[in-house]
Amino acid sequence: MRTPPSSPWIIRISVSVYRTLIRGVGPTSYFRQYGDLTIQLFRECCQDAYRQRGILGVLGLWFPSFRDAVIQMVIEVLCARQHISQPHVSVGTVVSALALEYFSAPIGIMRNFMWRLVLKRAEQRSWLKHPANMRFEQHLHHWKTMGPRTTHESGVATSGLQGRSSAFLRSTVADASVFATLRQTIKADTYRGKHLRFSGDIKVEHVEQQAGLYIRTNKQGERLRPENGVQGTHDWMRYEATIPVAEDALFIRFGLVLYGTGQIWLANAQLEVIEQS
Amino acid sequence: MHHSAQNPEELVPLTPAVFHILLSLADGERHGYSIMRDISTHTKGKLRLGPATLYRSIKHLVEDGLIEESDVRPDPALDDERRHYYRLTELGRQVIVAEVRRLEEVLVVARTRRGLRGFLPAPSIEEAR
Repeated sequence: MRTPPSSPWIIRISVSVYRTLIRGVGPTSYFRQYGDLTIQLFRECCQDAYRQRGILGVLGLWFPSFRDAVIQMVIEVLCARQHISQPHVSVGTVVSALALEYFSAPIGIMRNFMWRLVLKRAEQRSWLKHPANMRFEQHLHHWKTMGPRTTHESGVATSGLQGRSSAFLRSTVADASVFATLRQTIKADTYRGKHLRFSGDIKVEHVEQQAGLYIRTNKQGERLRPENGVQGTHDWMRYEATIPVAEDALFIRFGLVLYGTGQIWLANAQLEVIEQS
Repeated sequence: MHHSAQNPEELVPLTPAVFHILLSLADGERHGYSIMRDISTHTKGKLRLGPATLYRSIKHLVEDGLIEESDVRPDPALDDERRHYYRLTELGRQVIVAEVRRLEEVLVVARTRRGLRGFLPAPSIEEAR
């Protein structure tokens, strides 16, 4: 059911756009059954408006009619998918439905992307030039706990080695199978091309899988296995991990890693540049 | 709005669009454009249904058995043969009556509110009896 060629051009264009909306947004079943009737009604509205106010009258129909078409067709799509009929839906529902059906995925992706970008920028700004709070005098300031909060937690014990503060990382549930880290991140700028050694006094208790010190840069990917991983229960002992810092490294990350259940303490942490023989 | 029960009371309250479409068809068959114009006229332009709202409502009213397409067609010389005419079914008539009664009850309650006295029209003689 096309608009007769004798119709004014503005009506032909308007009906063409309207048909595209009804067909493009609405379900096929609706278009097959009521598409022509809906378009015919819009055409009659256009002809009426044209008789009264000419082109401006038809243009005045565009926004309310096109909006009505899009909203109603989206609701019809939702009704068809949910096998319900709801002849009237509030504007809020329509907006939600629109967002949900057509924009949720791209919006979600964009939001996550932006959020990650913001977080990344914020995190990069928080990177220090050099290590700080390595004796945990400021509790866990500059240190971050990464991992599921439901299975692991961190803190500072004041009665550590030789009465000094020590940081700990421990599992809080018996079936913890994932890993967690307590770490600090610094900029790689002043350490590029050098070798670094991260060392500290370690104590472990009931470590079922593995725990220990780790150090890495962004060039080492996500590999977090400690160089000298420990298991079971051990009293204080000095451990160290070394790493070469590439010329294009962005950051250096070091700290504790704990796989599965158990608890690990760290005291007297130290990061130093070492001569590579 | 697919209702297995055919109790009109269960189908109210109606949305404004549905209520006015049924009201418009209370006097007989009408086609889409006629319904739209009639609604605009009897609501004094306060309710203007878009074509998509109107036909989507009609679609569901037909599915729910409140209206049906009419076979009675005017002389093609006097009307566009592409138009479809609709009329109320018996269920549709019962539903619109139920809705009007519901609105009447609302009006009665509203008239008892002191804060609304003087703002609402006085009941007619028939209502006062």
